[in-house]
Amino acid sequence: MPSVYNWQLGRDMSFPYGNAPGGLQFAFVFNINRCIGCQTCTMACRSTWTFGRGQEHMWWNNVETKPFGGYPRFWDAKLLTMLEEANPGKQVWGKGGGGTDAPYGTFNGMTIFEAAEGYAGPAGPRRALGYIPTADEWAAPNIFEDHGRTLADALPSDARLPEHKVWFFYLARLCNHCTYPACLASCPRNAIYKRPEDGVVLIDQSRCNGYQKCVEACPYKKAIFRSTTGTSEKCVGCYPRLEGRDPLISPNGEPAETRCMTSCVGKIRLQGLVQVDDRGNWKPDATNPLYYLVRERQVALPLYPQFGTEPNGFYIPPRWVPRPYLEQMFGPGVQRSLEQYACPDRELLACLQLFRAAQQIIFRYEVIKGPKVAEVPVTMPDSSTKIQEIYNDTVIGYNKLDKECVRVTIKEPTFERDRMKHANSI
Amino acid sequence: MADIEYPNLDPRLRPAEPDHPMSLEGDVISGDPALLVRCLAEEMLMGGMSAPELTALSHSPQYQSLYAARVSLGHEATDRILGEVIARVGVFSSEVWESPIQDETPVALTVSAPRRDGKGD
Ligand code: SF4
Ligand code: SF4
Repeated sequence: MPSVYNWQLGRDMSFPYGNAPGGLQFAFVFNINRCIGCQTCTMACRSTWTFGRGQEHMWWNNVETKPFGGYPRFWDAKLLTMLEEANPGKQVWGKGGGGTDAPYGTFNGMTIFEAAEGYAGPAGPRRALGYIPTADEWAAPNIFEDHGRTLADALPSDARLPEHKVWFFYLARLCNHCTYPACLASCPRNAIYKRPEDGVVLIDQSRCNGYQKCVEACPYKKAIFRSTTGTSEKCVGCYPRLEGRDPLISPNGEPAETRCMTSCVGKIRLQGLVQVDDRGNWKPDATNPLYYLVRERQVALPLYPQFGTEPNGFYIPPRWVPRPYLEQMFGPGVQRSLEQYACPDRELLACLQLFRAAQQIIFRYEVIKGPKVAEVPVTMPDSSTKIQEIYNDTVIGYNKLDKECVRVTIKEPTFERDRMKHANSI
Repeated sequence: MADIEYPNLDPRLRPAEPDHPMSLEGDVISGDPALLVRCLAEEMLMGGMSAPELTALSHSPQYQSLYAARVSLGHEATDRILGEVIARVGVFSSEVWESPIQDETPVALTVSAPRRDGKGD
C-alpha cells in the first residue's frame, strides 16, 4: 500500500491512494464547552437535505450525549475495542510533540488502515477495519440518552448499571471530510471522490451500487445506507454554499458556512476553508481563524485522530470532563488545549468571538487592540482559579473577496446587583 | 391488501428473551458535578447569557447538562454555585456588526397544489 503523511499522527501511514491534492480543505472547530444539545443543527441539516422518504436514518449531523450516547449506538466504543483486539496494549501515543509536523507527538499504534492489512475474513480483503452497525444501532438517535431512568426501566429487575457522579457533554458530529477518507478508500466502485476545490468528500449517486463498504469503513459512521434508493448517502458539506452559489446568502459569490454551522444556537461552531500543501499538511496562515485555533494554538483537537483518516473536524474539549476520557477521544493535546481555553489570553479571546458572528466564511481576520476593561477570576482545569484579563478589542473578519464581513467588539462584563440588597438600584 | 409487517426496532417495546445475549459492562469514571456546574455557568455567562436565563436553563429538563447536576447536587447547592459564578464572572457582552448580506428585494413565489380531478397538476 502507498504511504502518506498524516500530521495528526506525526508519521507516515499506509493508505490505498496517494496524498490528497493540495488546495483548499473544508474544516470546522466546535467548542463543545458551549453545546446545549438543542439539535437545531441536526434539524437545519435535515430540513435542507434529508427530509425525503427513505431518509429516516439519514442523520448527517447528529448531537450525542457522551459518555453513554452515540449514533449509531456504541459506534466509537465498538471500533476502539476492535482496534485494541487487533493490536492489544499497543494503541498508544509516544511522548513529545509540539512541532508543526507532529503537534501531538507520534501515534505508535495501528490506524484502521494498518489494522486491516493482511486481513482475510469471510468477506475477502478489506481496506479499513470497520463494521456495519445493526438495524438496532441505527434505529434511533439519542435513544436512552439524557434519560437514564428509561434505560433502567427497560432492564431486567436484577440488573445494575454502575453509577458515576454526574459529568457529561454533548458531542456534535458530522462527516469530517477526512484528508484520507476511509469511505473513499473502501469503495470498490470508485464512487466516492474528494473535490480538489474544497476537499469535500462526495458519493456519486449514479455510480454507487449500494455495497455499503463505505458504511463499514467510515470510523465515524457518517456514510449511511438508504434502502429506498439502494445507495449510500453522506453529508455534502452544503457545497452550493461553500461555492458561494446560495442566492440569498451569497449575492456576490462569497462562500458561506454550511446550514448546520450557521444555525448553531450555542454559538459553538466555526467553519471555513484552510490551505493544504500537497503532503496533506496545513500551510501556515495564522490569520485564518481555523489555522490559528487548530495549528497555531492547538486549542482545538481532532476527534479520535488515532483512527488515521485525518479528520478535518476539530473540538475544544469540555473542561469538566475526566482527562483519561478526553485523551482517549482527542489524543495527547488535551491538557495543553484546556489550559489555554480555560483562561484565554486576549489574542485567543478575540479569535473565539468569531464563532457564529457571520454567515460568510471568514478567510482572514485581524484584531484592533483596545484598553483593558475587566479582570475576571475563572475556573482552571485543575479546579483552581486564575484571573482572566478582558480587553476592549475589536476583531474583524474578511471574506474570500477580502471584504470585511463581520466586526465584533468585546465589551466589559455586566453585573446585576441583588434587588433585595440594593432597593434603589436602577 | 395485507398490512406490511415492520420489524419492531425499539428495544424498550420488545419482549425480553431469556437467551438475550445482553451483558452489562461499564466503567465508573468519577467526575465532579460542582465543577460541571461552575464551568457550564462560566461558559454560558461568557457566551452572553443573562443571569435569569441561566437560572431558567438550569431548571429545564430539556437541557440536561445543568439540570442533571441540579438533581444530583440539590437546589440549594446548585443555586449557591450559580450565584457565586454570576457574581464573579458577570455577563460577557460584545457588539457584533455583520455586513448586510441578504438581497431584500421581495420575490414573487407561485405555489401550486396538485389538482384533485385526476387531470394532472
Ligand atoms: S468521516 Fe467517514 S464519511 Fe466522512 S470523509 Fe471521513 S471516512 Fe468518509
Ligand atoms: S445547534 Fe449548536 S448548541 Fe445546538 S446542538 Fe447543535 S451544536 Fe449544539
